[in-house]
Amino acid sequence: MRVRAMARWIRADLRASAGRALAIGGVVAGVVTALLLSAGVLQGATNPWQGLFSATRGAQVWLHLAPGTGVSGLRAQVPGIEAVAGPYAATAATVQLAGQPGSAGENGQRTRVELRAMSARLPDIGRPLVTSGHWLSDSPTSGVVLEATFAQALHVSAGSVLVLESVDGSTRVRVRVAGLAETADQGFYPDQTPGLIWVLPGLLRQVEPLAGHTDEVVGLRIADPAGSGVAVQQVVTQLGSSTVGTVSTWQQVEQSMARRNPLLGLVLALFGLLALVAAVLAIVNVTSGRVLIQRADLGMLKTIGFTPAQVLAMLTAEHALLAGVGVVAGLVAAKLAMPLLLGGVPGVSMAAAAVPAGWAAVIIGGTLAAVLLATAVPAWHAGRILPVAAVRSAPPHGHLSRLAMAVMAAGMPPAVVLGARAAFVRRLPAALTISGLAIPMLTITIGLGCWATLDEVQRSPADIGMAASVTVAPGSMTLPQADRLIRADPQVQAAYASVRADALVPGETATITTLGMGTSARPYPFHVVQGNLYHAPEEAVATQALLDALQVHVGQFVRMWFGGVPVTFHVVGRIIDPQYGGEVLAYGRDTLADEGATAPLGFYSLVLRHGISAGVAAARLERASGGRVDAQAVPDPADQLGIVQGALAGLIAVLALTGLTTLLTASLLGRRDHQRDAGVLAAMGLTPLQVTAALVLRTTVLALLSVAIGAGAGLLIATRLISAVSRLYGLGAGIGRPPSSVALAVAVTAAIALAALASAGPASRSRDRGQARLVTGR
Amino acid sequence: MIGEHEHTMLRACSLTKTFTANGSTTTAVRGADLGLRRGEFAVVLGSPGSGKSTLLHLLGGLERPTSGQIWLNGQRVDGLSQARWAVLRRREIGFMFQFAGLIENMTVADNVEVAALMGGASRRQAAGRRQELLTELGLADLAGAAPARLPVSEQQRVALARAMAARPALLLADEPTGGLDNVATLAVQRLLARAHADGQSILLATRDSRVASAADRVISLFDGMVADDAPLPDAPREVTGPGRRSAVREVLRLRD
Repeated sequence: MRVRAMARWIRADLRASAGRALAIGGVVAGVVTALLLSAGVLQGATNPWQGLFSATRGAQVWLHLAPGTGVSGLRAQVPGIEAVAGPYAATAATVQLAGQPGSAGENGQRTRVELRAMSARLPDIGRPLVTSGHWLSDSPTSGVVLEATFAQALHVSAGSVLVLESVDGSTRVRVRVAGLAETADQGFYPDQTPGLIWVLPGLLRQVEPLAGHTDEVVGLRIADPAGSGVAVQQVVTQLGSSTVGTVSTWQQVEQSMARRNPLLGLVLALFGLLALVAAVLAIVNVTSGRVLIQRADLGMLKTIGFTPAQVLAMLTAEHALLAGVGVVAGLVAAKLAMPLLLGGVPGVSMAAAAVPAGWAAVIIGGTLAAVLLATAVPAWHAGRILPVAAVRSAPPHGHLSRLAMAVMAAGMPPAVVLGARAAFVRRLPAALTISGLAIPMLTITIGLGCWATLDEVQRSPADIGMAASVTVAPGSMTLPQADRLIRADPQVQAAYASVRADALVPGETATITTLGMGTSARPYPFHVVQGNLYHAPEEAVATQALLDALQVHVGQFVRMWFGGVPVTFHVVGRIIDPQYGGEVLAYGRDTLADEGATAPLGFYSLVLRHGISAGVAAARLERASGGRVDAQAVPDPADQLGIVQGALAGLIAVLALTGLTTLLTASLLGRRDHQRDAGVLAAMGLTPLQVTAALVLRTTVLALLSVAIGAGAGLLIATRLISAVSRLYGLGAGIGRPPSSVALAVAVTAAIALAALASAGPASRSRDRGQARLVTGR
Repeated sequence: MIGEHEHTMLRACSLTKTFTANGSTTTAVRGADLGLRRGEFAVVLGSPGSGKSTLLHLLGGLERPTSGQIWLNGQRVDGLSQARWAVLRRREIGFMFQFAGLIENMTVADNVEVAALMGGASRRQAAGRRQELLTELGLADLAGAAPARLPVSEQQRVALARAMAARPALLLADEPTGGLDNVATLAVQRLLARAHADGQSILLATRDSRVASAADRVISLFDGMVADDAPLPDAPREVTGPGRRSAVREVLRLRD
């Protein structure tokens, strides 16, 4: 019965203050959405394997076995194997884009692929996740399914026509792409080659009729994923080492998939956390303001038999309910917004960005706990309200400071002095209001700084090292032919012949990718933020991330081996370049030739004339070469950054909502406190306008103060924070920009105007009421 | 003398309440002694500021006395925690404030029903009790109204209905007819008289002698002290106070 009484009160309270309920629910939903989205993007960016593995029910170990190897007994013979995927027939082949119908034929670049035979029925283990088009079907015209990142690299989508060719070139089959699919079986293309194409067994035999050229591919799902190495050894022992071709474990796949761009996720996570702090403050504000406003009602509840614990429980339950609704709304919003967000982030798929259940639980649990904690203190206070509060309200009191009197005597309008003084009569609420507004303002200022930085990057990508917008690999053309082709193109402003070479650094286990870009006489226009560009052989520039990895500074020497040839570089500058995971060492192409290191296959980095679209230019170059060169638009940062700006705008909206919530609470509280004062002020001879001004000022003074604190602190840290985040990402310091003064001015003005508006409505109403009260004596 | 009567429902001994605010001290109730028997209807009569409201607050556990003792049904209650008092109020004490004091968020019906629910009634019982009380007070049409929109006289009657919703053993009512017109005052008086006839114990603070005339006993309060405590002629108990003073005389005159 008592629970029912509590439920009645909660229902009545929610109905009476629907705006507050909406604000709390909205703030919680916004925070949950922001945190889930950032977790998803972070996950997709830094550990896409996990999501793909669960979505595809992947196998942890994949083996290529000699044809005819029996694996049927494997589960019984090797302990710890839970399930076996396959065996699937697999063969090496090449693929090329089909030429236009009626043209001379296919002359595009051939790319090596692995064809893997699967049936039309998707397997239970290692089940490719179709992302567009559809899976293989039993019809003879079923077509093939491409691994998604491979398809992206080939610029192929469902419906495209490909030509499959056996390795010896003896058979050629034209096929249609039925669909694209993701898999956790192997890393992303081109980190992992060859690219993967799933075909029906019949088609595989048609392309490669020789059984001896066909492998068997087997996936193992093992009980102890951490011990995959042991499992592999046991399997190899069981089957005989001669039958086992290649082996890959999930650890290798996971590692190869990582190293994507985590910047977006980090930015979102940072803002999400700040939004959570702001939300907690907003909820503390709303709830404690509400408790102050409802003192009489709460006292009444105590009178009719509510215990302090019941009042506490009731308020907590009410807010838990609102938070719960907010969390559900946040989950739905995140679900809806994720595809939109990921649509703008190349290379992160929905499956990869699946937020692990543990993270989601932490986010939801953390948000709920934060809301309950934010409610707990005001609710506890509410529980301690004496029943007599129902009739004996204790209006706040304070004295007029000497300063206030002096200012008033000096002729400052009394409305200003009284309003400003009233703002601080209730100290704790005033402090809560200020922090509740300052923190969103701080975050918004930082957000505007991020926005300005992104704007700058979009306007001049060269500043983050993205001078070249197209790379051209000669493909089947000779270098001089490609050179002529590029020179003939009027849209190309400059072309730099470049090489990519792997080097081994003493003490490092993995090789690093180095770039010979242009020559030391004509270096590629990297964005140098420290030191200078390479102007002599053996001079090099490097990104912050690489300097960190090698533990060297600008000015020092670093020695590395190119296929057995040692080269010592003098690091003369630090550059910003987001490619290759931000780890780049670049030098003049002539250095390698001078030292006698073998120069690997080259490519051209093209700087286009201003205003030329990279995608269009790349396509035109490919067409001009008759499909013989492979021209790729460098992923345009604008594509990704546009969506970051979208996400930022969303977060700024959430923060503005938390600020507004705080503001409305402050003005409601002001209205209540001043209902009586308003009448007195009027009786003292203040005009109605002055009374309104005094009450409006009460909230506005607090807003002014918080905006000054928030925006000031935001300006102080924005540039530093952005540089710190970009340093984490390997870009190094130097890209942070302060918020644009126009945007900041708009934000500040909006905050103060909202404060005045929020209190103007209640103020004029309370003036009327105050006079009414004076008359009735109540 | 404490607990000497098993019929004594409420007893207060040397009850004192001192308020301190901004360094100055005000004593609202000074050493008040009073008792109320089960089923008795007593009136605390006094001018504004005589400490009537504070006395009732103390007896209802809404405020803690500075010193003195309160016994309810033979149990000492002045030292109880807020929570224990709250539990006690659910069934034992219905409290009606001067100046209404209704929960603004809730409709008239909800105000009454929540009190009944807190007293342990089922939803159906609560609704029935609400209907019964509002009808008796002439407010049946206002069940869905918001209290703040009602005139003071109607708010007062809703507050009385709320105080009686849980069928409390003791009704403490502070100025239940303050601000009511004659018709409304009569309705309240009728309700109180009927409740009293059904055995309801009532302690009522008022400055309205007409309301007091229905009581068994009149306790007059002057400056926080009990100045007079006298049963009215047909009351079952003998005179215990120091003598009949003006307030009681006026009540008697009104009865004649």
